[in-house]
Amino acid sequence: MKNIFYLLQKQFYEDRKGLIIYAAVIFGILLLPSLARASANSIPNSMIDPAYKNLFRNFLFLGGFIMTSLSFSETMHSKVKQHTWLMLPVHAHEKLITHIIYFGIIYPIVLMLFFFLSSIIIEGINTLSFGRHALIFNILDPVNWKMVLHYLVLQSIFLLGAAYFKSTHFIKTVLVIMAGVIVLSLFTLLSFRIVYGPYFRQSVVFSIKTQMFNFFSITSDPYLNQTSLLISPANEPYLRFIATACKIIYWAFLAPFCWLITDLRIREVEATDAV
Amino acid sequence: MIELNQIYFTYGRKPLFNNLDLTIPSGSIYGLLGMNGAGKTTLLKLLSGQLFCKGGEAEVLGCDPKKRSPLMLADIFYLPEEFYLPNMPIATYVKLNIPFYPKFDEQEFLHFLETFRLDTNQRISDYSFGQKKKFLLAFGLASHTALVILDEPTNGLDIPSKSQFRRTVASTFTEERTFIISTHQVRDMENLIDPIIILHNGNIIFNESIEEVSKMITMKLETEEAFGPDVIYNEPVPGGYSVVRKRTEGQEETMINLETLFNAVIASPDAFKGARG
Repeated sequence: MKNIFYLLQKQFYEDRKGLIIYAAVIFGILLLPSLARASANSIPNSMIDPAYKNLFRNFLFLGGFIMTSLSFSETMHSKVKQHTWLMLPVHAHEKLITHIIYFGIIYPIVLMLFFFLSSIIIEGINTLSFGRHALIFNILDPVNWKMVLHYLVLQSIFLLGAAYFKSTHFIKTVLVIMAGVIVLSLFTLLSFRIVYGPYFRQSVVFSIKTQMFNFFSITSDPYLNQTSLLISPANEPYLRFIATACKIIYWAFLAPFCWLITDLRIREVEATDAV
Repeated sequence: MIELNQIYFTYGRKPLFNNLDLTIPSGSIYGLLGMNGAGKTTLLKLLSGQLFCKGGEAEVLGCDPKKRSPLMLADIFYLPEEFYLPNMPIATYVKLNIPFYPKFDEQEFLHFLETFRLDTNQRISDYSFGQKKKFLLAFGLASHTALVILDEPTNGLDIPSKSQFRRTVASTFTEERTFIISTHQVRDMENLIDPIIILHNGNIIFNESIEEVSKMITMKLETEEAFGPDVIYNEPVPGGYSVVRKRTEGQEETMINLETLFNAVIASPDAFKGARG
């Protein structure tokens, strides 16, 4: 544990300049549109539509994924800096845990706090300057915390990409995810076609509502007024089972699986790449 | 301290080391010499767990370097030929790094900085390459690691710093500590490195102390090229030839020039066959 604390301390200090610039950029992006909206709204003491939640989501996911993707580029994958990384007297898994804590846990929590404090400052300025303000960023909103949990899971994929690829980590990871989604979609469609072949032959029409994290919610097509086969009582338990299995895989296994592969990849780099 | 048995290592198909054996006991300042591409840096990386041998057995400080145990790494300081130092004040660098080196002595570190005439108020990025090297060396020496590996340590050092380097390394040497210094600048290391290891074509062709070398050979400046069964090597030098001969009983000891010794070993490895590690 001590080593992880020291590694976190080291990482934070080495990243501090970039983090300060990043924080300034976020604050600017939050401040300017907010000022513009507050000054454009002519009704005094009125509430303006806050954009914090959407921006928080963008910075959390996009910013976090990009930062995570770059997390090994300046250490493990850098020919000049690799020596320092390799000779640091800590275990490979301590290095990995540090990355998970730093980019997966500390980053979203600090970002949330930063949004909260920034929104207080910005809305204070708006109230004093224009007499109008928006709601501050709600740090206790369960939606935000759920986003953080989703971020922690999905971030593990980008952490794996950061360790696996030696360059252009973010783009390569996104491409692999896209390729994976395409392959999985084709596989799912093919499976459905095989399992429900007879119904396809009878030209039964159904539509699939594919909302995120509700992958297998199947509905009937209201325009054709046809009842979907897939929500028939006979099929419902199977679909519920598939949906539950997917949720379990997503919440319980995806991140640990990615972390395990990342750990193996770090060990592999330690064993082979110091040339 | 270091035991390598039947080490096999390859970059691609052609093996660099094939059945390499080496034993290095603690308490010496070893000089690792070899031509370009002989595998000096690779050997140092194998010892420090930065590369993994593909065959054979290695033991460094009682550990398998492949396991990269933090305890082993905390007892090794490796100054590479090319390195990176972050842009931060010295005090911050020390604060962030000393937790990983439990034997680090801060007072001694400051003393070394003073010896090397480094301004402690400067940021690391403001240092020149040579100053950065001295800074890292000061950090490494103050870490009191059992094994200190220095790869071309005098490259980039100015003339006064080279002698300062020799004095400082010699002053920190103890019986519990081993230095391995890989270098091409043998003149910078004269009177410091002893024993000498020469790596050639993936093999240790020489591993002997200067004292033993002095018993084995003589080196003399002669006006004419020498021939005969006792002549090992002739090296043209200004004013004649530096002649290396087998030393016979009763013959006076001569000064050993490391550069000539290296050239003689490379030219006639068979003449030094008894001197392998």
